[in-house]
Amino acid sequence: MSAILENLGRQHPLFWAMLFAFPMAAASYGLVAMNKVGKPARVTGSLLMWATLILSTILITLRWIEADRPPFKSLYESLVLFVWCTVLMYVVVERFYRIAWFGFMTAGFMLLVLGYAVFKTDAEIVNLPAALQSVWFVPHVVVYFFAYAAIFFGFAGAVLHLWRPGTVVRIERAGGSYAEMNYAGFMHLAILFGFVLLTAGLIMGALWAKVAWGDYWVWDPKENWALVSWLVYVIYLHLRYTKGFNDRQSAILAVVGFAAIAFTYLGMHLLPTSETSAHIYQ
Amino acid sequence: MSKKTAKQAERAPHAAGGPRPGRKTKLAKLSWSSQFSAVLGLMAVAALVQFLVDGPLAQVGNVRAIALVLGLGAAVCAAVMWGKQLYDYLAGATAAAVILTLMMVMTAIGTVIVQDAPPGVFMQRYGAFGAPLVALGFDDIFHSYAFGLLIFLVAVMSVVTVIRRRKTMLRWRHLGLLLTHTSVVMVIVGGAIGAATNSKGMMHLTVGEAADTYVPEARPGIPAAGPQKVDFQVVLDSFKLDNYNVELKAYTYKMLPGDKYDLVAADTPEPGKPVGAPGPDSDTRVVTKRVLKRGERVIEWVSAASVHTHERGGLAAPLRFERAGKPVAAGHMHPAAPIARDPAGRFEVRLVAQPPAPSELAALAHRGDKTEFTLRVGAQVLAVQPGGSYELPDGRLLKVESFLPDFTYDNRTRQAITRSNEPNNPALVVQVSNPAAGQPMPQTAYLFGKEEMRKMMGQMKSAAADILFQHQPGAAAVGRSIVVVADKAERIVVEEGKVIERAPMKWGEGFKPLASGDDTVVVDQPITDAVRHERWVESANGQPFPALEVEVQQGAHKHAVVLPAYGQANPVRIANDRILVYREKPNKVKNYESTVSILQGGKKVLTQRVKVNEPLEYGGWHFYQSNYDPDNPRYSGLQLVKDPGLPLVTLAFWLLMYGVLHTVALRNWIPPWERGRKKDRPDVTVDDQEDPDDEDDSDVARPAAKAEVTP
Repeated sequence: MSAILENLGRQHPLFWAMLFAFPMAAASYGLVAMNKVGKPARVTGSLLMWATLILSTILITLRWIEADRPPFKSLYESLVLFVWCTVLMYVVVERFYRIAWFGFMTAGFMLLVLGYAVFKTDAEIVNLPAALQSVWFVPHVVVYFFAYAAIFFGFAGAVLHLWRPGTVVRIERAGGSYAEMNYAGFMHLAILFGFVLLTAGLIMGALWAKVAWGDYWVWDPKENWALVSWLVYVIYLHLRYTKGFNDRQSAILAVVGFAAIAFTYLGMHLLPTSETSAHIYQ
Repeated sequence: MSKKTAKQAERAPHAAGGPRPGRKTKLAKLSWSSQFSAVLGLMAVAALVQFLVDGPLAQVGNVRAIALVLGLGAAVCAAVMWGKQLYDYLAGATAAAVILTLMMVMTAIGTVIVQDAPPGVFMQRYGAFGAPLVALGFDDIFHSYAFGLLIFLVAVMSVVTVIRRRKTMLRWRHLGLLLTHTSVVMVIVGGAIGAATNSKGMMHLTVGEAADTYVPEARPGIPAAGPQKVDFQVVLDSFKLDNYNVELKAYTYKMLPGDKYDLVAADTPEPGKPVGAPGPDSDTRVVTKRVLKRGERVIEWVSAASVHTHERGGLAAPLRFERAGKPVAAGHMHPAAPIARDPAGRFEVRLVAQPPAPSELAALAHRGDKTEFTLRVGAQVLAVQPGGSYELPDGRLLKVESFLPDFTYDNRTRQAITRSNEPNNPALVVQVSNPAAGQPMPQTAYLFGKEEMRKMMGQMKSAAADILFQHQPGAAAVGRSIVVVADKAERIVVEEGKVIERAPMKWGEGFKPLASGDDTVVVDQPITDAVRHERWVESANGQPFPALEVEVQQGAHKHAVVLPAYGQANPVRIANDRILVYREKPNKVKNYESTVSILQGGKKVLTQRVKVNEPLEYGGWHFYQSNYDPDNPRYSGLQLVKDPGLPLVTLAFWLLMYGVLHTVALRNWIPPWERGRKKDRPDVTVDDQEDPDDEDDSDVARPAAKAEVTP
């Protein structure tokens, strides 16, 4: 516990600001979702999410300057990047899909991610090893974190669908018209987008591995779990498109996929085979 | 009603959108568990074949090729016997789900069970489970026959999927499916070609030397092949290793169970400021006193009363040896080493508290015959004297500091001393340097007269490993012993056990130890409660030796500690589970690169830089900057890889990427050349078994018109 307090004390003031902004956004969205308050609260929530986007952009920029390298190496740095990617994607998605519960879940999840980042704060800005000094570093990492954000959105849609299957949500179309879909439709679109990004990230990883280590695939635990999580979504697409998995079944698969992605991102150190991998956060 | 409209009616529920249940083939109608069991059964057969091929049948000639042929034969038989059903099944999504799920499970197992470990390590780790796991192929799961079977099935499924939809495959809407599945097959084929025909190995290079062989990469279970030749030569022109700027910081580590450490804080120390992170549970506080750049440790013996210690201390006195007024050596006589020996070995000075008994005096100073010492370096024999400097045949410089007849290393004072005057372990203390080879800094080494001592004391690993000290018996004892009696301020000179002289001692004033010559010895005032005390000073022209001096305050108790940046870390405990050290920032290697030239038939064809993440390509080979040797700046390790399957796999990746993008985003666009295509176009013949449009109903970009109300 004291370690967490110590780490909290080490954070930048803008980080603290995000730690306040997310719960407030979550509260705003939650109240809107429960129909307790009206539109102004939704606007508040949205503004807070925009604020966290600006805050995280500044934080990442400052660290990039201080470290003199892209700040994406350590677990702490990657968690802040993940927040940035998710919030960026959220504000874009929110433009078209105004789902209060989704805002609530995103803000809440971001708070959890930041909390974990406090727990795992770096003691110092570590040196970037030679293997990561490559033009592939930024694209591979950033594409993957946008993919994780989209997958999280799919998870949120899946959870909402399983919880309240009948809800209709309104989608704003170009030209001011509206369309309607259910949570599962939203989930599906997010997963489609996420799947493209996951594929891109996986392929970039293989191409980079070839340039760095001489082999595009070495059956390393991180690579293996990236493959496993990608395959979950391959199966999702096959079953939904051709076998006709219905919304409920697809949602359950989406939850499984999110668990696989989460384990791929954060769980590698739990594996007995992690000592031999070059790919795992220390 | 025509067949077409009947089909449409069947599809009616989906006119409103939403996913539709696909038509199930006979095999796909089996329960999930039956389907999984069937594939698992096939995998078990594959595992059994592997067990036989690697075990009992390993001696049979070409057994692997036979197994492969039999396997393919079985596949062909299955295709012939159940062709249509298998064809339909494998082209469907159910089969994909079953087989890909099993692939996921096998992959996950491969991340839990250690892969590619040497056999001994594997068995040790898994004990009783080791043998069954190896029998199942789980110790190298990704190269096991069962996993290979799954990959084979994925390839077959992809091929069948494309073939089954061949009639409409080139339509824009279905291009994505064509590309994704074709690229999957290409990846598998390219990977298989690569795995079967690749060459990989390490080339070890030294600056200025040429090499044309590499050491093939070892694979567990396959005997290592010898060095392989390539048909060109690689010359390492230069090698460069860049480090990040060295930063020295005070690191606080938290100790975790299992001998693990977690970094808690990294501070740049500043004099006067607190350093380290003891945490709120600790009552220890640490403040930086000094940051030393050229730290030097001075060892003194000071009165116990003047420093904080629980020791009572003993008798000690500083002394100096001088010749013609110039200092030759300085040190202490102290409780652990009360005898100081003349560097040239002619006499000793002993410090005692009270006058020794006559019998003790009679045992002192029995001289030996020689005070000369012989060294052998290779074929050359060298006669040396303590205090002398000599040049060795290979250019090394040797300075003989002193002779210790009964060598021992005092760990407390970290000095080499002599226990007695008896030649029990004769040794010469020397300094060796090699300015010509870029090692101007003298290194202390000990040359042992006794053979067994050379090995035991590690002379073989020192800078003087090849210098043999041939000790002549009798060259041990000193001719003269000067006993300094502290209590009575008197010195007693003894030769051959007989007292020659008694004289009062004036502390701090020099006296002549020998009858002739201009040697002087100065003994300062003895301290009766002397304890060893280390003091660190910033040495003006010494070697850079960074160290951090801190003051540790625990409750009301304060003491100073010096933390050297290199060498053995002596961490300071600042909390129950936290320690503080002063170290370089880790991972200081920034990058390393080689400049190589490639010679073909003796002629230089190319010169290029090879860097991590920037490989070199030549003659079908890729060269990767792989290794460096921290102890040898002229070494470079390059990894050579030749992979015939690479172009196919790389192309497949791009096709897969585009195929996925196409399927998700682009397929709903109707290209101009397909406009007007309706079901009434004559070339669209529907396969009897299914309508190729069966599979692509999903409402990717079209939202559901009505919300689904689930019952």
